Amino acid sequence: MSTLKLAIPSKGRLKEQAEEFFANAGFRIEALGGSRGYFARIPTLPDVEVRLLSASEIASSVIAGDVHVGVSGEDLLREQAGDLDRVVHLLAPLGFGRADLVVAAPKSWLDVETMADVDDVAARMEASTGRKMRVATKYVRSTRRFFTAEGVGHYRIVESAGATEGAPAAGVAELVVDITTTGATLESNGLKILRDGVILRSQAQLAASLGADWSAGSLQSLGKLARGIGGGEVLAAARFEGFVAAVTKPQG
Amino acid sequence: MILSSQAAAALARIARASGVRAEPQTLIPAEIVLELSGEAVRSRLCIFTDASGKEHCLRPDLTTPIAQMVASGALPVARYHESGPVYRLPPRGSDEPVEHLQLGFEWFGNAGSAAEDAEALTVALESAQAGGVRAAQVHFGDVAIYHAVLAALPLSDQWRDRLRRAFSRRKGPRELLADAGSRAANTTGLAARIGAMAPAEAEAAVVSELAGLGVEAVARSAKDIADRLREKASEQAPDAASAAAIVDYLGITAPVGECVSALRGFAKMAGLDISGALDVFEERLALIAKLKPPFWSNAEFSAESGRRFEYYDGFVFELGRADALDRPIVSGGRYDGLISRLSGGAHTASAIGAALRADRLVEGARA
Repeated sequence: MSTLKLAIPSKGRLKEQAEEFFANAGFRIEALGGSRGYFARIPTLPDVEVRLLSASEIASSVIAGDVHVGVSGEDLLREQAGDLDRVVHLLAPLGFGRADLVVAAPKSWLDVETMADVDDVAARMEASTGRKMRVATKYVRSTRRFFTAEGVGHYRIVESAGATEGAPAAGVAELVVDITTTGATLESNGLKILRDGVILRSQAQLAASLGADWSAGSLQSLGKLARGIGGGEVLAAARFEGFVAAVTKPQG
Repeated sequence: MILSSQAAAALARIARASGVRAEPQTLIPAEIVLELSGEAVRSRLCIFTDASGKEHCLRPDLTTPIAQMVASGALPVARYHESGPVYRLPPRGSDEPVEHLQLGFEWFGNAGSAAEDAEALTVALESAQAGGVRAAQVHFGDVAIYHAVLAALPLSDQWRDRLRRAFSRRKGPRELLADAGSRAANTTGLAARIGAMAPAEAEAAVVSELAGLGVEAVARSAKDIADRLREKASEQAPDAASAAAIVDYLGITAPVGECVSALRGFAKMAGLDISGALDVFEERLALIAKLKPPFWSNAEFSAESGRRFEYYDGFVFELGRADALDRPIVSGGRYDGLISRLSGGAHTASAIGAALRADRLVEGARA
């Protein structure tokens, strides 16, 4: 297989930004089969097969090795693989799709400013009510990892399908872990971001799969891509060399 | 499930001392396990969600469902033995099986004692020997001594609670103490101002502050927030001597024959009266010595024993190959507080138990 499979977002602002980013690097993306097709090509990189997928599908495809490389948010990648760095290399931050994954508490909790406060209040709530503090989120794994690292126990995760920021007002959770760009949505829902509650400053990443079926040809195509988007910066190119070393090391 | 001859021999030794056989359910409410061990264990559980959204999980051990049955009154307070498969998802890259066979016992009673500790340890170690284990080492500890150290130190209630719950967490007491300084500097102007007020005045100030922010009190009352602001304002970080004593205590390891003098020496150096806990500890060791359990002569005390389990609150022990201490063959300990926790304070019972991994008996049988 000499073809490089590249997955890019299929819809929304992320799609536009990704296309613009690649076009600026000299890799104009052309949709195949009309504007709603799921495949595309890059005339300047004929050995690249472009797939259009949702950002979440791109994260899982890169992690599983179904595509060689993809553009997706670091938040989604880290949520889907707890040990991301063992299965995926982030070759280049792309400078768009910026959002922070944060822990937010009700503004009325004047005594709560940090994760340490959260742990104290959670223990206090459990002691007085017998119930654990509830945290609403779509980012279950990221929340669990962060709370463990910060030494917070006595909490339960309430998995949220949407409109997570409304959970405290609706009485289904006390805390929220969610993605935010300006904090305005959290703010207008009566929530405040904890001072040390930024779990991840996320942006779109060019992510390469360690588990994909790599060949000399597909690595060569990735090299062209990495050097192209690296532009004047050496960052992407240097990470590409590290990635090549990782996927071509003899199997043990 | 068919037991290997080794597992059957181990279980026979357990059963002789352990009353009737308990048959806990395989599928239990995930809630029980999560309430007990926290969200951090979720990634290891085999969880199913039913049509109503309620979560069930395959039992990750036998202790939890049996304790739950005792806490709910479905089983009387008595001695039980058990065997059956338990289920834990392995972390990525691990070759551990999802399902393994566990053997064990749980003894519930009205009052635990040093004699019961000694008997439970002996039964657990003899059953491992009956199951073919030859070369293995015991590590043991006593969580009650840690609690006694915290009780004897001049700590604020908040810090005593924090340090107590940090014992079983990855961010443990040492890490918590290292952060103590930055925590003290955390209180902002508003919190400090309200925190300095009398109770009623502080509550009124919180109410007026919330009105100013245009928000309602969510999930907690203005009084609760005012009370905690007052606690925060009066909070004292552990002094250097107390922090050093805790770190010193957690660092204690000693062979079984030297651990009493090591602990008494620590108490004297730190100027702590923990003689109640140490007397129980010493009595237990004397009773164990009389019972002469296998593997005990080269046992090693470690103050940090039991950190991997949240519910142990007294004597704890593990038996494993010296070259694979992270893969214990036997784990056991006292958990007197568990029945009360599981029943919301409705029932209390003393409890001690141990679990053997049948699949690891084979490893222990190798020289």
